[in-house]
Amino acid sequence: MMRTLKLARAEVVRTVLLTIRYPIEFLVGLGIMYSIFMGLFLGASALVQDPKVLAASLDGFVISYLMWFFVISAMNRLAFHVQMEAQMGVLEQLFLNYPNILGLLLVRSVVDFFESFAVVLVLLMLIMVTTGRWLAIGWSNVGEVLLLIVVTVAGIYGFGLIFAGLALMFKRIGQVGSITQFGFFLLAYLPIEQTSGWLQITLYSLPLTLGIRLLKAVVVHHESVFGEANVVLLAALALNSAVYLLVGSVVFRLCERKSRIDGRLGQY
Amino acid sequence: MQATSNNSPAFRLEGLTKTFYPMIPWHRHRAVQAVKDVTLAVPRGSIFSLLGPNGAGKTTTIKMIAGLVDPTSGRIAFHGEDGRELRRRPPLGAVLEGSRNLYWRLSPLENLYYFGELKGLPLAQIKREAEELLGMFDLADKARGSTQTLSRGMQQKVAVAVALLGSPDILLLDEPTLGLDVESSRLIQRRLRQMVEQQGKTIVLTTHQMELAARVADRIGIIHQGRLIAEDSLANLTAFFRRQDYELLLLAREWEKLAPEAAQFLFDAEAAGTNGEMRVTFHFDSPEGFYALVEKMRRLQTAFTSFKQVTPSLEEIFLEITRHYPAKGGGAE
Repeated sequence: MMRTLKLARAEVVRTVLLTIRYPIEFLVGLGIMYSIFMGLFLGASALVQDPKVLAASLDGFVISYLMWFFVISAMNRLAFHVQMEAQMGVLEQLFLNYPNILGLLLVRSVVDFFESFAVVLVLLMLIMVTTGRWLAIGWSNVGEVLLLIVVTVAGIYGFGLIFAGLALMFKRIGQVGSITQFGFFLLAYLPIEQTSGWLQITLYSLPLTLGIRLLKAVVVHHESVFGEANVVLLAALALNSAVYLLVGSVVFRLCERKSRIDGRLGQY
Repeated sequence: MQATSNNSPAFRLEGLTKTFYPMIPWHRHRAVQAVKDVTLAVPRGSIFSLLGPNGAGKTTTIKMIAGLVDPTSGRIAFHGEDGRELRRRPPLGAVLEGSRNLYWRLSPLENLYYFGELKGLPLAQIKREAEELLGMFDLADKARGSTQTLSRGMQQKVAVAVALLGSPDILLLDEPTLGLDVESSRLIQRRLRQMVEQQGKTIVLTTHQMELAARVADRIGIIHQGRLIAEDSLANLTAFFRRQDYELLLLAREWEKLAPEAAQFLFDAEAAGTNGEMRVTFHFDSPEGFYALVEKMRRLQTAFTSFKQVTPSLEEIFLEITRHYPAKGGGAE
């Protein structure tokens, strides 16, 4: 436990140092995400003429976008760490100094989550100030919102571990990541509530979709996540995320084992 | 040179073999056997140098010892304990060739703190050791600058310092002085010997710089096409190969008289200097050959400047040994 805490401290320090030392990288990333949102927002505003319809859908629009940001952070960061560290020639040093590399990546996931969360807060403020749409997040529901974000993102980190495992074996998997990001973008905005049967079950079994539905219920429709209708979905979301995290961990371990056999850990 | 501490092995390799198979199953016939049946015991408190040409299997061997590559077969035991379980291995420090080994965007001090925390060391210990190590490698004034702005030699010294954090018993160094200037190389060599002699560390270094191995290693292993084809102290290797070669220094006109009689032993003849002397090297398969040549010289009353047994350099020993193992493919770094 102490060693994990030390590791967490080391990762926080490293992340903060690199962010402070290279602020332009951070600011440009934030600017790009903001620009993409504004492009989508203005496009949606132009398409939807009825102000009432527009107002009703904008909160959901913002939530979907922010969750998508979490997705691309969670999914890409772990694979990006592996790819960059292989390229930089430090990946093998990490394996040497902290043999439980899955543990290291899980700790990094937590640190990355907090970093992404801070970015999302800044992004959210910018979006709300610019669009004039203020999400209904207050003291009454902030706990539920945080819970939903954490549980949803945990499943996505499972997906991130699969990508990190693939990066360990193949190193350059950027294109696969881009396609998957696009897939998640569709998932974030698909009107899944309007589907039915197996298609709906399949879509809800993917990471992100259930989380977004529940977040919209809490923030847009002012429902409680512990209400009768939502608590089952919350349990399903928790199970869904646990399964993805478990599958991600197993796939990562298999990729790690295969990389050790093939001598690919340090290759780029 | 002698091992400085007791001779119980720090680790032992038994029949260590590594075959790399292509990822595509129907390309399995293109498998490369990089390391073949290597058996070796490295005594505690010594420097063992693994010599070999590019692609000989040095790096693969060192990565198997470090646990970064799984052997196809064979066993690695540390202090007599099976080393397959990574968590049960003793702490190892390593600097790997072809890798930066460091975060270049962080300073040397920040790298030391980061890797120290990864190793699970207390902050106070990291602080103390970081100061010591940076001082040891003359890097104290570079501690807070960006690592990427340091020279190659300084970066390598930082990498060795990071590997030494936590004072691991075993240090694995893959081509530690490759590309370094003479001063940096000598400093690293001195520090390595100090660590062995004063702290009883065990160091394994791979290199194809014969001078480095000759200067610092207690024992030398020669690896060629994945096989460990010789392993002994430099003194023993030198003694073994010294028996066969003699060098005669004499005037050219004396050599003209002797040459027809000595042709069967002649290995090499070349002009030596500008005063008309020749340096002639003879190779004998047995002592009888040597006595026969001396007898011929006595009979011809050959005048000479010197006649001495050749002490082969490590490079010559290496070439002599590997010459008997012609290239047959296989092997990988």
